Amino acid sequence: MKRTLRYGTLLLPLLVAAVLWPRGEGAAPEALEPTVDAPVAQRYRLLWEAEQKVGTAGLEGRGVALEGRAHLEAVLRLERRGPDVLVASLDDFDRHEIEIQGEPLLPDLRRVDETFGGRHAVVHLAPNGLIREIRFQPTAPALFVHSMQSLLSELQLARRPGVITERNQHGSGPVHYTREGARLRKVREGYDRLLALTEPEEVEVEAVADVTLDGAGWIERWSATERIEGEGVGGSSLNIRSRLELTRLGSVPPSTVALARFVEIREPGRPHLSAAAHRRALRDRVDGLTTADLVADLRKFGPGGTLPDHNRWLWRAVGLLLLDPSASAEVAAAVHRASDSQTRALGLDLLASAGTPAAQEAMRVALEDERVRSDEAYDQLIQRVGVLEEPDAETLAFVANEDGLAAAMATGAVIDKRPDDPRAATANASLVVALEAASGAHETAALLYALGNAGRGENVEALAPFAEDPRVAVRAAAAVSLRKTPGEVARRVLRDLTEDTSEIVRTTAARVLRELSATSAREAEGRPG
Amino acid sequence: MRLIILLLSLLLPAAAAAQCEPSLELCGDLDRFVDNGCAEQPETVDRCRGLLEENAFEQAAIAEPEWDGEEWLYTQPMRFDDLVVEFEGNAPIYADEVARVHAEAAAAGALSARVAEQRDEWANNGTIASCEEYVHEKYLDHARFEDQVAHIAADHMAILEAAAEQPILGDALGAPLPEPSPFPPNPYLAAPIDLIASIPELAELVEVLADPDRLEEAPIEVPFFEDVEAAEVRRADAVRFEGLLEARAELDAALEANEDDEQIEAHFAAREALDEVLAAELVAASEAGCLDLDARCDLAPSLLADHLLKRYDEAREADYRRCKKATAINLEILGGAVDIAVFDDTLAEFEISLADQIQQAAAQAAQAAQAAADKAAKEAAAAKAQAKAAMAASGLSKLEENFAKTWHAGNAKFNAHLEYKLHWRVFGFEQILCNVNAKFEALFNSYVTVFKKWELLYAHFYLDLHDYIGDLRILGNSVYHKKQKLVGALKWNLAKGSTPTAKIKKGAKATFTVVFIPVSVEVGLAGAMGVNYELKAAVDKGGAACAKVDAYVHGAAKPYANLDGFAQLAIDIFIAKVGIGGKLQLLKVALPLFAKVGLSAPQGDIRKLQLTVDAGMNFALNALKGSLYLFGEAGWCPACFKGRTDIFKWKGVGYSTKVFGTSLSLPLLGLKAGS
Repeated sequence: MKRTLRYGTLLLPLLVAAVLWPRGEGAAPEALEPTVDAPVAQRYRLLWEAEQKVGTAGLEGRGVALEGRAHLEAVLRLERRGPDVLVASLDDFDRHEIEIQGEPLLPDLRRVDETFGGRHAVVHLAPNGLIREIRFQPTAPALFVHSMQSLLSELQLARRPGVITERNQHGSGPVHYTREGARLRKVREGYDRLLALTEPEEVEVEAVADVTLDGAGWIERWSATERIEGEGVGGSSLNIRSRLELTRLGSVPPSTVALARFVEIREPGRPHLSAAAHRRALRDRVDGLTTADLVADLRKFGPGGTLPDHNRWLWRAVGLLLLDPSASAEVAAAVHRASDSQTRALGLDLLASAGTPAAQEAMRVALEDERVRSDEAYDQLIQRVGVLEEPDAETLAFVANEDGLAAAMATGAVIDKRPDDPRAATANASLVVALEAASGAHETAALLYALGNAGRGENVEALAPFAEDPRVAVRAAAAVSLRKTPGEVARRVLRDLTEDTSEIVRTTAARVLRELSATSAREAEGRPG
Repeated sequence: MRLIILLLSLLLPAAAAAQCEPSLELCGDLDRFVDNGCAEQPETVDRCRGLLEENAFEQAAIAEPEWDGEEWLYTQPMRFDDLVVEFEGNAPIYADEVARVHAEAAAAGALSARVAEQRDEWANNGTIASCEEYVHEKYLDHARFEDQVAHIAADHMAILEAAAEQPILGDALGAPLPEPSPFPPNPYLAAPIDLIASIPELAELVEVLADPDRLEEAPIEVPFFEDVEAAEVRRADAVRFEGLLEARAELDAALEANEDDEQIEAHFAAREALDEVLAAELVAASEAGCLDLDARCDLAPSLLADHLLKRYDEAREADYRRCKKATAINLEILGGAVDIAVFDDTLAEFEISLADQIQQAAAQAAQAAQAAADKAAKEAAAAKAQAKAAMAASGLSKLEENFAKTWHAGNAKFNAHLEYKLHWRVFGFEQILCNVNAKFEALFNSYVTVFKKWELLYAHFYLDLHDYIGDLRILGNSVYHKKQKLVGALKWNLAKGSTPTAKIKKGAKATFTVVFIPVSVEVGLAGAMGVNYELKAAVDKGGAACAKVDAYVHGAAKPYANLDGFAQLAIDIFIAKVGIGGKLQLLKVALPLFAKVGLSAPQGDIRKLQLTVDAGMNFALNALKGSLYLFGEAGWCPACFKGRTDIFKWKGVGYSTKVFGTSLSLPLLGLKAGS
């Protein structure tokens, strides 16, 4: 069976997924239900071959990114611990080949035994028969977890014929189940989402699994093949081939594994990276930069505002702050010691980009420093707080208590990022009071911008009257202040402003209306902004 | 007291001279200019003319100190052209002729033979032969009185006696003379009411002054001058009191205008001192009966004589000018349509003819104006069509032009947008560029987004001749900057990865499995971005000649983003170290902008007025240039894998181009109606 379809027009077939699943007596003829009195454990000979290439070739059409290969031959043991719980394990390996970038991950039987010996995975089924979650002991090696998560995701079997969305290690999409007597066939119609091809353009999928059930409903045989070939935006590509065979060897006595200690949860189609993996990636990113280096670079190059290989240095330095929270305090100290605005701005930019709790505390310490406060560019320095992605409560309290229009703008930005914090609501109310007491076009406009940063819907009532202010700068700022509040009142005010006597105001209002429409469209599609 | 006197002695002459001291306010107000007699001073007229030419645009700025966004045109009452027409060629004033005749008579002791002969001719010719004869006969009894006392102009009592002996009856035909000028008011009653009210002795007077009807109905009785010298002393006292009042008014004006605390304090002190003097004068005047409504004490012979001699001056001068205008003294105004034969009429007939002629001339002038307007409209329509064709040929669709360009390069998007507008209008009969005001407005708009929707930089500058609005956003947040500054720089450094909460959601991070192994490739970006701007909007009138007027924005507005993309790879295995490195040049942009819009009139011919446009934008962009590579150490060295393989390799997109550039001249006469 072969289907070639354009991604995005029709979903493509793929994948084999199967597992032995008990069949219940007395159930509807088309239904697959567990058999209550069937044997509780079975052994299967497993053959699993897989090859995968994930490439993101550039415009020149070359370059292969990541490549892996697996060939496992072993015994799969499945044990039922209730109607929706199974225990799985692998042992008796005849072949144990797993390679990533040519590097063997199971080079010898010792490593196989360390990884799989005596280890189990506990499968919890959803009412539709698919896997809800897979549980592991916290001490389980990562390779065991990943292998079992992938294998069990392949061996899923829905309880009723028809089409159902099924997730596996490659992605998710519809699978069509049919049954003829004791033979089941599952055909993947395609993938709605491929994890390794985030923006696919053309994808071919062939995925069929044929399953034979015995009279008691246990799987006797499973034979599946899958091929995925796809290309994505920018020349990225995906190439997967796999074959999975199961042959029943017979029933075995149940094990005595205690399930209470299986607390590490994984789900099909949700690859999970350990914290250690992320730290290794950060170390790669930092590429040997130390805190001492960072501080020395700040002192040496900060006054000029630009370092050699500036952008890469920023990337590495922020990586260091993410890897080592204690480095943030050193940056704050460097900001304190600096005698120029450029160094201070650069240091605060690093902390703001990192945005960790430690970095935020360091920002507060730096900005409270008297020398920093007396910097003529303090207006710009304090606004670094506004770019924090997850400002904490202490940062909100700090910036909300600061005086000045620059602090007000930063406060507005922080309020926007703490929508459920009652203290943010209080700070927002203070900005509204300040706006109502503002004198002069410049101050009024600045506070309107600040409340525009906050973007809270309850502000619209306070902001709208400024659309009728006689001063152009104020009316233009009023339009900008409504850019995050896509309610009807705000839209009406903006529509009125598009007929303002001032070209500046008309243009601004039209622009903000476009922004609001784009935001609404994204929200309707459930996309982030 | 001596100090106050000294102050007054300085202020009073200065105030008198200041009446015709050319100023924008005075020169722009023709009525005031003429009423003050400044129009009679050729030098003052010239200075006014130069002042108006030099300050045409500054006047506009004064009139519109803060542009409020409304459509505004140059509406300062520019009466310069009227002024030129009215007094070009030293327009004659009859009062000058009278003064000259009387001066000759005073010197000779009698009217000159030439004047006497002329008077006889006028009396006997039975017609009106000139405007001089017209006003002489229309005010005949008054003219005879003037002639009678011309040689005794310094003897006020003699003048009064002559007036008593020869009551003024009427014109040459015996008809009553027009209403004479009112008698000079009592200067003491012109004192500020609050000052009078502060004097307890004058409480009753305050009530009288508060009743305008009572004040107006009060009769004036001319006293019998038993003691002429004493009367003149009282008159001098009254004149001095008038001077004090003027000085007080000057101080009030200075207090109103002054913002310097020290000077305000000094002015207050001076006014208090002055008020003390005025109060003392008022009390003394009251005791002397000078504040009685029916018994003015300032009516000295000199005042009465002066009034008797000048009481018809204003009316007679108006008639004289009317006659002059209607009899083609200034053919330019009246279109050369006056028939000189009207001077064959008698006074009565002449009055009728004159009225007819004026009416006829006005109608002809209106016709001429309409014809000129029709012609101008026709020319305007032709010019407008020509301008439209020129615009179409240049790619412009209308005067308010809008340049907009949008670029998409990979995952980066850069947008630049420029609008400029020019509003202008020509005033006055003589259309010269000094009477043109231009309105210029520029909108600079740019933003940078990456990964399709992450807004990094958003910069908008609005600029016109009077205002500047900058709306800057960094990472979606409005950024405070000192609004008034048109020169500045903002720089932000950034290093953002795709953390779970980051706004980079798509295309920047992917987590998948390679066989069984989860792998996460994350692309972040790092770099600097900001805005450097140095902008100026101004009008350059090209000197006093106003041959060329430019309204322009110049300088540079450079939003820039120099960003590189970086990747990091996390792989959840324990036996190999595999990383990802390299960098992807996401975006490097800079956008200098210049624009200049001007008006020029070749050879000073307003009919050839042209709009000149010279605007451009040079754009430089390098995007998505670079590579991503995978590096690794796998296995156990020395028998390990070490290597690098490219994941991304981009040729990139590079632009360094002139986004637009336009330079054109458009005839604009057809658009003068404020299009």
